Amino acid sequence: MTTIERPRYQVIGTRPIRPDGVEKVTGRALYGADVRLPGTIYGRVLRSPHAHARILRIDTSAAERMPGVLAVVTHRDLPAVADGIQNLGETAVNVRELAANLLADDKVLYHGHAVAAVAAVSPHLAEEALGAITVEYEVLPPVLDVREAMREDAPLLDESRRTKNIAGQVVGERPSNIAMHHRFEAGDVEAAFAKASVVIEREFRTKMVHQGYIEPQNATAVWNQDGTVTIWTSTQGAFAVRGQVAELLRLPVSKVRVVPMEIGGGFGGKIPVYLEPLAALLSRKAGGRPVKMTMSRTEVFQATGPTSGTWIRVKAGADAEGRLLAVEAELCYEAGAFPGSSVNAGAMCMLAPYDVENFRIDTYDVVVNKPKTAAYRAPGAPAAAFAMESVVDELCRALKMDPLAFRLKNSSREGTRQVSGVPFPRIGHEECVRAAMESDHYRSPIEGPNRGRGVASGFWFNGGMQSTVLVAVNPDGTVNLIEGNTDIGGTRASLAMQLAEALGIPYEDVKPFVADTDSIGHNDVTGGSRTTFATGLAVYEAAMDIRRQMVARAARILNLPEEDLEYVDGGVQSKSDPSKRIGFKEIARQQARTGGPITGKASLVARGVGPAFSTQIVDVEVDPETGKVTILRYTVVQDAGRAIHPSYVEGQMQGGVAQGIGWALHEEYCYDEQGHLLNANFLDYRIPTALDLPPIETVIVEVPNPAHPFGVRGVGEVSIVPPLAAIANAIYDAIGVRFTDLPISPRRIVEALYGGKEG
Amino acid sequence: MPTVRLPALFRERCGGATAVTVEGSTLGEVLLALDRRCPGIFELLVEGGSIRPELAVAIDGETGSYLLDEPVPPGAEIAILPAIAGG
Amino acid sequence: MRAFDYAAPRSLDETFPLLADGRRVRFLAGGTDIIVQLREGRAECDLLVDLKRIPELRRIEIRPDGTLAIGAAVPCAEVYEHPEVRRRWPALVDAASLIGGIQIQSRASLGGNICNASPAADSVPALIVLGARLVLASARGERELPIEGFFRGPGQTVLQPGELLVRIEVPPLPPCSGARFLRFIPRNEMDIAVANAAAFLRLDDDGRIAQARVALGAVAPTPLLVAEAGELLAGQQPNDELFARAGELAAAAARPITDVRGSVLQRRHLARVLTVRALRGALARAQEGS
Repeated sequence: MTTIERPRYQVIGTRPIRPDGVEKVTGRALYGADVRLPGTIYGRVLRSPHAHARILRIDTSAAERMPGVLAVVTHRDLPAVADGIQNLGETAVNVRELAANLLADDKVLYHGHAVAAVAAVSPHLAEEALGAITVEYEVLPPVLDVREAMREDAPLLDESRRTKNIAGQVVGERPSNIAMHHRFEAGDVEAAFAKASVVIEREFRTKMVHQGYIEPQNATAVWNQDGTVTIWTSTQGAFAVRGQVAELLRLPVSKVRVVPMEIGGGFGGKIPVYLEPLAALLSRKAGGRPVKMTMSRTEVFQATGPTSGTWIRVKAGADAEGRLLAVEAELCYEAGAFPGSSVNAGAMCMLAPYDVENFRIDTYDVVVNKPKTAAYRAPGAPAAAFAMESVVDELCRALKMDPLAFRLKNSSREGTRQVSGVPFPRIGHEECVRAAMESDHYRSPIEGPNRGRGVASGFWFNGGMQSTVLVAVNPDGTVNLIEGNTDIGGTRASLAMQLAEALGIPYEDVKPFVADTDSIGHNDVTGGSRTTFATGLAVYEAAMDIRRQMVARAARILNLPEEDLEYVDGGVQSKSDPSKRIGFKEIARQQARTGGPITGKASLVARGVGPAFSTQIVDVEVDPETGKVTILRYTVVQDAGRAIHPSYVEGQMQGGVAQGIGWALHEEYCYDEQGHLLNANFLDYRIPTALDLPPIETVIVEVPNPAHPFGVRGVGEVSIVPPLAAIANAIYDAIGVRFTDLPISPRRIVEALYGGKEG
Repeated sequence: MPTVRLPALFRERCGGATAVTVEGSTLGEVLLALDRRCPGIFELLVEGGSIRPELAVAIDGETGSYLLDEPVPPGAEIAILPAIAGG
Repeated sequence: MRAFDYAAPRSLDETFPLLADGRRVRFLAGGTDIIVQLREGRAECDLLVDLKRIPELRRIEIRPDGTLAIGAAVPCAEVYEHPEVRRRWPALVDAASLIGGIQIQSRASLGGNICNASPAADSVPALIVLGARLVLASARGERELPIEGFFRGPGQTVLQPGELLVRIEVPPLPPCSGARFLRFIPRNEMDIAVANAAAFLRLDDDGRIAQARVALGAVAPTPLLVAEAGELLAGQQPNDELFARAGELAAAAARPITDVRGSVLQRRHLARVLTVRALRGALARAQEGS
């Protein structure tokens, strides 16, 4: 549906075939695993069998003596890195901790923590060599749960760690696993609760979950004889890899060239480096042979960054008319082995759908003996929304109020202050709620035993950051669009469409190309739902650059003053006599004679990010005998600002929901008491299959972002925020049991309905 | 004059105020002026000449990685918040 | 994965000498379990013997007396696509069509599913209630035993060194009988049973239960034949209340553990639910056939 009338576009809003489509469906597209260089050797990683242990001794000599083994590295081989901070987009990463996560130094902090890496002439030999490395451990008690880790008597991951605030001040005297505490506060919470006629307080738990991208991490690196390093890898950000590798290996960025290959999913998990610096170090030790490394699925689960397990307490109060008066919350997020969870993002998202003046939210970033968390689609927001939107559902039931009417009544809008104090620009939450209320789904009754309906809203900031694009006009009138953002979700298409629209040329005449780090200016990651928005802004500016040059060239060809000319509909024409006109292709054809190649460029820090909201409706049926939940119907409503390629917007909406359904019903990291990850495979870590998902209906709302020429908002992340609560609310509606712990698996439902933990 | 909205953790330093209006036409000037009202706050916010990477600053609703010489319009509203990352 | 030798004999006579020289031997049919186990280091061997080239292990045959004989290396897809198997032994189709996805079913064999000896093996409860017998062969000759006597524990069977499973023999279903196999998995595909159950019922002329068998999987170290449920049911008029009592006996017979795939409470509960549902399914099929 269209909320605000859309301008008449030629390309935007159509659904052309993606430029990378043919290569991908025919299997010709080149992924990291397809990189095959002459003389390649193969790297493997030795990983800790313990969740928490001191490393007393590592002896690699036997492995080094094995014929065919060309290099072994441990933390000693990592160039000493000072305790510095590097800015990865908006992710602050402590380099010392990045290094210690890459290869453990004095301690291993989780099951699967890398301890050493080997390169040999065959993968099997490399694996056998791992067995020849002796590591002596002093096994320590692990701490696996965020609440346990916060106790004063908990085992400490790092005895020197003290709790700090966001300004880096130490706020706790004693060593602690709580790395950070922050508070968001406004209004008078106690006074507001005193006025409330309904107050609901609940505690929620979610487990650590993984992004589940299909392509495991991989990297091939060559340490060239001139001291430069070339890396082919699967990443969301070639420049982020370059920066991290340069920092870790103490090289200038100019010595590191990163070639981004096609990517089989990232969802935030392919921003940190895991293999790239190891492959480079192994290559250097092996005399410059190319070293190829690929993770197994088990390694991906054990040692890359999932998202936090959480404990959240929410107390919310409303008056008899259904006005949300106050919210108090505590958010405790597992950061994994090193600090840096998304807990503050969670806090800043959970109240975003609401205009609530009185709140106090305490956030805690807590280290535990599990892998260091990484970003995962709207990082931090889904767990916080699960808690808040579940409590809102209970408020609505207590008030006997329609849950969408409650959300409409309390909705945030332009000017509403977020918990950070920053006022919202033009946003579309009200429009999403209205569209949900008017949807066929919400107007259709839900009937039958053990069936129920739930709704929830969600918010994500979206990102801006840096982008660069280059545009070169070919003599045949086509255009090369050179950009630096890996194409994860159809950005070649969405960028090419914006360029075609801005130049008034056919989409098919734009040839997008993702360049390596030596071939284009800096680009921040394909992440934070930023690319179609931010790199799209750069595309638009580069198109304006081309248009200005086209006018100048046309002036020479038409022999008219530039002031009399304007760029209209893919050509240049006289303002005074529009019959004097020359088309884009003709100017392109004559470029050699009119001043040489026509190229445009733009580099920018994107401002005017348009935040995203989504409201979702789900119907479920619960089998009360087996605890199995069937999703009967699902509708996702989302404000896209402007849907450049509606199919890919719908794909993002559906993809986030699919991941959210898995998170709600099945997905969890399972550990034994010693901290061993028990389900590091896709059999026992259950992401939904095609047979577990209904057709997910999409409603695109378009409240244009006034800061983007086409109105674009990021669309990649917000759809994963509401499903956890929407499904929990629907299950309550179906069987009258309120689940506050995820996943709501058949096991948990059976145990809730039939009593006891163990039979 | 620009107004700086303070997160809870800095309010104590500023006599409990949630927002403080100070002089300044660049971010650096504003933060130094803020420091005169709320002593010590500048060094909490700024490290090595830049805003600490754990923090973000929003000027009139626009969150970004600003340098201290970023111009601040008269009457602007400045907020200090934790930095976040996207997926 | 460690290096190992590979052999692909063309007959059982060629096979037995390979098993006699003391090397640690594993057999390969579909390979859907063993290859994964070798790659992950959960199994080791010196010699992998591929059984797919042995013609008698690749045959499905229905003997004149109505017995179904399935070679140990026959893939599941060939079992469930066989028109006579589909007509006469639908409970076997229930099971064979649930093991893995299409690709897996085109490789994975019933013999492998049995010899892998997972307590959760989907083919086994159905074969137990159908009264299947296993034929084991070695250089010393053949022996046979009822399938429920084959398992000693998770991954453990009565197979002796030098011995292999060659054939599964399923007797013909008597008139007025039916069988059903069900499993519970959290998802709708690509999963391992949290619990599974099979039931067989034969009705007499009055519609009473003449004979019954109930078997469970994934609720004990081995698949279980729940004899007491069969005894309860025999001679009774089938109804919901009776089936519920049989379900209670099944739940009581279960000796489940809590692991990453399910809890004691959940598995015991599912043993009851699935037994009742399998009995209802078996009854429907028996009544259809009568």
